[in-house]
Amino acid sequence: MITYPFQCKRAGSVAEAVTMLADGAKALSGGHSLIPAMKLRLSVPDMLVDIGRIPQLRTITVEGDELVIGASATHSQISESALVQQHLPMFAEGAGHIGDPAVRHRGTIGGSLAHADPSADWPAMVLAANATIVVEGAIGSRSIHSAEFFTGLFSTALADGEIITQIRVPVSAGIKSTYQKFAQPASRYAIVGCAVVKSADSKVTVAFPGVSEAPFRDMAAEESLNNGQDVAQAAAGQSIMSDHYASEAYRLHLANVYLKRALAAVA
Amino acid sequence: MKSIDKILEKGAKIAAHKLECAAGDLEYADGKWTVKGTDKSISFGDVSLTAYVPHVYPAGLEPGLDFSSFYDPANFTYPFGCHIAVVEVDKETGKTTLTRMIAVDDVGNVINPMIVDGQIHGGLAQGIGQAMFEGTIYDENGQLTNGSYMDYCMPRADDLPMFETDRQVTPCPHNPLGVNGAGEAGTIGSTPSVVKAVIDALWSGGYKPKDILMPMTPERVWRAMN
Repeated sequence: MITYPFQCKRAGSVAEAVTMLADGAKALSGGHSLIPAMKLRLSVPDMLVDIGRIPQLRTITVEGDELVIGASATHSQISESALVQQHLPMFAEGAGHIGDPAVRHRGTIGGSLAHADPSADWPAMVLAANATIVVEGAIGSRSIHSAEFFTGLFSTALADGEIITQIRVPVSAGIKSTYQKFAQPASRYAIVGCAVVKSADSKVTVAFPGVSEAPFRDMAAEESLNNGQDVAQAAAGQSIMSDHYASEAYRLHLANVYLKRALAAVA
Repeated sequence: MKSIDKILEKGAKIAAHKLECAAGDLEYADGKWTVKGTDKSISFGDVSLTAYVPHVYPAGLEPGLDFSSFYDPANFTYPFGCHIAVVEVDKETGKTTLTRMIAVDDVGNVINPMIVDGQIHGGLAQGIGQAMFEGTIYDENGQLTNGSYMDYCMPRADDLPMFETDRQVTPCPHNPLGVNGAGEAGTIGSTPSVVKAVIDALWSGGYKPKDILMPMTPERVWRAMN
């Protein structure tokens, strides 16, 4: 439980962070995924760049019809934000159920998205919210739609040296949103979660964490729901995870139960 | 209690030397030895200081005032009690919520009530943990697969209801203090009461499981219904 020796530098701005990261350093934000991995010696970086205290990465604002969340905003900051509670209650609700208070005060939305744990809450929430993830690297800034961001188990579309700077979420009057979670009692990660956003004209988006090896939008369920039909089977066509706490059959059953509960919450 | 008798006996010898009288002329009360029929006395504190700083001390007497005593009980002690668990089971997910935990234990005479309450509370948490959360899991090579608290679930405060505890006192006849063991009482009744409560909940819902393996994870309870 002791890390290998490493160096750590604190970046004062995004530009400085990007320069520091150019020579193979690893970005440190809240440290709630990276540090445990380093203690287990699963991750062995020589150099960390602390991006957790860059002021412009910690803001939460509304720009036009977008809610813009800085990548280093903590879970507790988001869950307590009046703007988030007003425009996208799902984010406040979901953030409030991550881990425990100590985790929520350190862990960040950007860190969680970049880590892409299949059972983490944020990836599914940003998928259902149709968010765009803004990243910055040596070659400049680019935007990646959430649907293209998560590429597999713990993997994302982030290139080497790139960091997430913003999460931009379209919001409009009349949308309803919810995040329902069946938590692993020890870790409080999602065994199954279900994020649902319903627009003013009743179109829904649905995303699940915990069910498969990457978080995913359930396009088949969305199509049924948006055509006024019931969903025959949640997570259809997905490869379902199984572990000592929840078998494949039980997980799939929970996905259906939690879809039903999430839809009831936005009815 | 046997050690206290030994301490008072040796203390009287030290007190007698300090008060220049015979040990038999002393009586011990209210934390001091007094020469019978006089107001000459010496406190327990002074005697114990003398025992460890023996400048004015009976010749040939070993310094110190420590004693150990051994006791062979005539019989075991038998604490007893009744634990009642009230649970709600989510039929769709199998998730159990413990809504009330009532424990009334008789551990004989209670010397320190706060410590006994703490033992009962801790024991209940441990017993409930065994019933609902805790279990080591090994793979086919004998490797522990849930060896961290991210995987192995210790019961936490928000997994538990406010405990309702009470006690009755039946002094134990087998030892001079009249006490029974209290340390494990909380773990003994709580585990089966929680398991039985879940099985009872399932029966009242029309399912007829005879048993559910511990820990009763949501999946195990769900499978008992499906």
